[in-house]
Amino acid sequence: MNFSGISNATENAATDFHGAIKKRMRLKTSNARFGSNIAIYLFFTGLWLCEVMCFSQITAQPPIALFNPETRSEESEATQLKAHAVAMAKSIATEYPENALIHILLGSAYFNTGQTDMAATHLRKCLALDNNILEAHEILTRIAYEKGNPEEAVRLCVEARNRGLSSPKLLNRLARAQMDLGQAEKSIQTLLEAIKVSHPLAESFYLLGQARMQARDYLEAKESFIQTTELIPDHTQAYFGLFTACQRLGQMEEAMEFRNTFVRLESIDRKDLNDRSSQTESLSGIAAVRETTARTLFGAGQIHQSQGAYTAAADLFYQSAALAKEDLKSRAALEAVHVQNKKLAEGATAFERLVTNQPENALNHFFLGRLKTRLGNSTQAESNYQKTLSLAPTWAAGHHALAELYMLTNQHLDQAEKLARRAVELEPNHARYYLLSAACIKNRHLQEALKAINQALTITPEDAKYRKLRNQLEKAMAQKRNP
Amino acid sequence: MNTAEIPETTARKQPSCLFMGCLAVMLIHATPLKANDHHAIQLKDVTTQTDVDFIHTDGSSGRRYIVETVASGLATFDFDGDGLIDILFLNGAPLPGATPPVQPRNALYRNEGHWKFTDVTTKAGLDDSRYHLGVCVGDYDNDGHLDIFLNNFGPNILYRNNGDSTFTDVTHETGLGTGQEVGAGACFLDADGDGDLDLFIAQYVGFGFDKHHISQMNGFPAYVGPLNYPPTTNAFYRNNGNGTFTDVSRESGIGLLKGAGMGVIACDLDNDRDTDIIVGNDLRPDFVLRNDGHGKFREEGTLLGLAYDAFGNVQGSMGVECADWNHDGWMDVYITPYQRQIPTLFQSQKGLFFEDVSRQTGAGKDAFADVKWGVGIIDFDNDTHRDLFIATGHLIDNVEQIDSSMRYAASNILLRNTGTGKFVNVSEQCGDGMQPVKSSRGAAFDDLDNDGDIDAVILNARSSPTLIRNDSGQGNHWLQIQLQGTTSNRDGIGARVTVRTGKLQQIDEIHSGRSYQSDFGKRLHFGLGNQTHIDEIKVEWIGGDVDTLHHIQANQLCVIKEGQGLTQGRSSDPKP
Repeated sequence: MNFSGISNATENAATDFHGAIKKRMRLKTSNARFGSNIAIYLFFTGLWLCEVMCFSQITAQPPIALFNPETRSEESEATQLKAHAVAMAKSIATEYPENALIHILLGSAYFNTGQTDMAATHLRKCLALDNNILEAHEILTRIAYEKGNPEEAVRLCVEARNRGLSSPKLLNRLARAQMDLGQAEKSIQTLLEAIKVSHPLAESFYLLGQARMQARDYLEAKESFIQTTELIPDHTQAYFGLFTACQRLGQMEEAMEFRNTFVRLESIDRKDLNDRSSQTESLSGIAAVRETTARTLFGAGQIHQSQGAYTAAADLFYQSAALAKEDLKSRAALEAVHVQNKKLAEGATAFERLVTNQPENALNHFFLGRLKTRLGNSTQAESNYQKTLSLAPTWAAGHHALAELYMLTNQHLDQAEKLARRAVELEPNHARYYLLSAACIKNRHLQEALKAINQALTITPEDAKYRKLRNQLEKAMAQKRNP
Repeated sequence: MNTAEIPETTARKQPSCLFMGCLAVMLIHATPLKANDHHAIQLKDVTTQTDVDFIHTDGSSGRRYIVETVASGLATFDFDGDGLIDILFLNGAPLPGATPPVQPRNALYRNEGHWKFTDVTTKAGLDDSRYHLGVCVGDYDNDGHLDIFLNNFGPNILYRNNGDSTFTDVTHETGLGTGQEVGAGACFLDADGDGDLDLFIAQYVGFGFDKHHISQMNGFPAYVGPLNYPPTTNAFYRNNGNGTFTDVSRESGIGLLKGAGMGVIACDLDNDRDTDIIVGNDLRPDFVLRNDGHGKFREEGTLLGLAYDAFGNVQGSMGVECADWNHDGWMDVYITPYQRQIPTLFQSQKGLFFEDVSRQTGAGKDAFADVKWGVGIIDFDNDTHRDLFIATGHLIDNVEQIDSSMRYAASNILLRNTGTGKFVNVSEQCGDGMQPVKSSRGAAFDDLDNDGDIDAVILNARSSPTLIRNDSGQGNHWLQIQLQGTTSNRDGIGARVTVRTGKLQQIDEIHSGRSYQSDFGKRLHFGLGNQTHIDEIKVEWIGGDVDTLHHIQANQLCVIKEGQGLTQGRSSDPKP
């Protein structure tokens, strides 16, 4: 299981339930429109939900059955999931008709079920209500491109950029459309912009290589393909690019090596494709369908939440988590919505159900542990975190959480320090160093504590809390030296 | 406006008009032809006037067997030697569950001239009712009459042309009987240069009724794709020279490879004067079978850059064609793929490798969304530049229900070669011949009315064909060449012809089996633009002989016999 996609914000919230959220979200008193804006923010950034939005008391409703258990074939499941996503989006549209997010939800749902014309209609409505929604531009662009209209795809991308909207995905799509129009130089400029973002996509480097091949700049193309393989070592098509670039450059020995690597990777890809019996024309690849349905349900949940419908939101976050086994966002949202509404027990129940259905899913145990901690059931929480570690031993957040629990309960403090240290080894960010420093303090390892807090401050020098801790440590250590 | 036509007095009295006229002339000729220029190519749908009443069937019954999706090809050739090109349409057959009112069969139409055709299928002995997929035509026994090979779902058929407008099924006596494979394209070629035609047979996938299943897309039943069945090997038969063939698939190296063959073409890719084979594989890397000159082949698709598109992705390859689109003396390759894939123009880099130039040239323009099949690289307006004709149409008959952005029936696409390294889509400007909205498959291109330009015949799945008359006119000149081998195979299949007019050199080869499971073009056609005579024609025969002719008049069909030169056609006086 790979949790490397977890954002720093998520990690902060894992260690500081209140402070990190407040800092990130810049909370204000809620109103429906602000909630809508926040939902937009969250919808596209996947960060923690607002903690102080108010929700009314709504009686809990049982979740909607996801699919008929009698029809177990993947195609049947895919069909039902897609229909469920569209139905869900439509029901939300009925409840909240003038919400731009509704239309993007509908647009996405229709797009995923192949009803492209309906998708485009709703996406345009979304932009008519709010033309700053990036995802609407992204999907419309994709529709135009797949209809074989690269000119329209370019126009839509440029329009989005002119509004200040941009994403690596959008830039990649723009570059691809420009390449299809034979505009290699423009494509190169677009991709040079795409790779400047803080976490550039490997695909941007790969496409840059392709654009440079089209421009016959084979040396630069080779460099871009190499950069692609540095990000994704088994990027099959990048090796094809390297083979052809070296061939053009007359570097035949290198070309043949890259060719051999490409052929090897391609045969692995092909075997995987055959094993899954999936086809390029298939619209029902079950993994993709589950993921897109989960996204739709998550988005619908956010809309309900922004409108104060806590129970409906929780139900949808649950469904999303049940579908997307490795998705952190839906689980984080499921936890947060229960926390915000002070429904901790119900939240724990929801995660217990997830654990029952997905017993080998570390994320489920992790979030259950957090809720158990809030409920004061530290024994159960400890068990959940230990299970998390056994399932995901290289996931820093698991070590961090258990260390924090021990420190909260003043138990196994030596173990807490070891866990905090391991968390730092796995993912050395400022929050981890802060926890390590705290754990060292608990164990009276002041020198180590100081070292750790200094590391945290190296990463975030302006953090007042870290500075305060450092000052306290230095004072304590000075007093110890000179009693 | 031609200033020479202006009366002198008028010219003196109105110098400003003369000046404006000259300026207008200069501007007109300086402006490249645009997509909305409707004078360049004109194609007319003449189907209804031809008496062709063929209706294609794929034998479907709703069970969605994969073989339904890939039927069928067609052939245009002069079967009776009367100088007029005839048409053979291939047909499917009822598959389990289908109960058609009339038993479908192939249809051979004899060209009576003036766009009238007569169904002579039964008379000719071609009214077989098996499931026919691909066809190639060639004189396998060198008796002067074109024979037919049908690559079927089930046993294949070799028909020997008896020379009296009839055919005889000689499959078993020639050693070509095969089992229950799903056929695809096929081609005759003289692989070993011994003067007779060998036979390459592509196979699609390892489908059988016992392995059949369907998929579901968005709640609707749908055909499965080729990856749901195992890949298969192709076959290669060496002509023994005595009317029989020997299966040398493994010895030749061809039988060692597994793919999902569709369109094929045999041509000389590396200018070494032997015939190589290109096989379009559906969702698998395409094959380039490079001939060592002795009938042994080595697969070099990846090495040559032809196996994948520019992005290193496999294509759902359907039709395969070749021609020298940029007049550099090397054969380029054009492959038509599945939906949401750009048709790929692979430009030869002096035979060392091929570069995908589709995007830079616009050779895939407006052809991305549809499924693409038959293809022709044809100079429709005789301006010396070869244009691209693409037959389109989906294979999933309920695709609009599955994805509203896709369509089962579509109009075909014509991309005109501007001569400046670019293609432009002129489909909507060149007449009603491009208007029919059908699910097309095979496409064939020949001069059916002997008027010096190339016409088109399209086989449409589950429907009537489209016959397109080329009315381009334009006053451009042309040349057609027919070959007669003596020590080489009788029709000169595989021979390379080079036509030089001034500084321009054009090349072409005689092929048997090409495009999408089809056959056409036993007469080579060259558009000459404004050139009224040809400086040199060079014929390089398979086997090594070379014939060179000089000073030939344009606008005629020349017949060139190996070792004897021009046996039909007129020479011209040499240019001063």
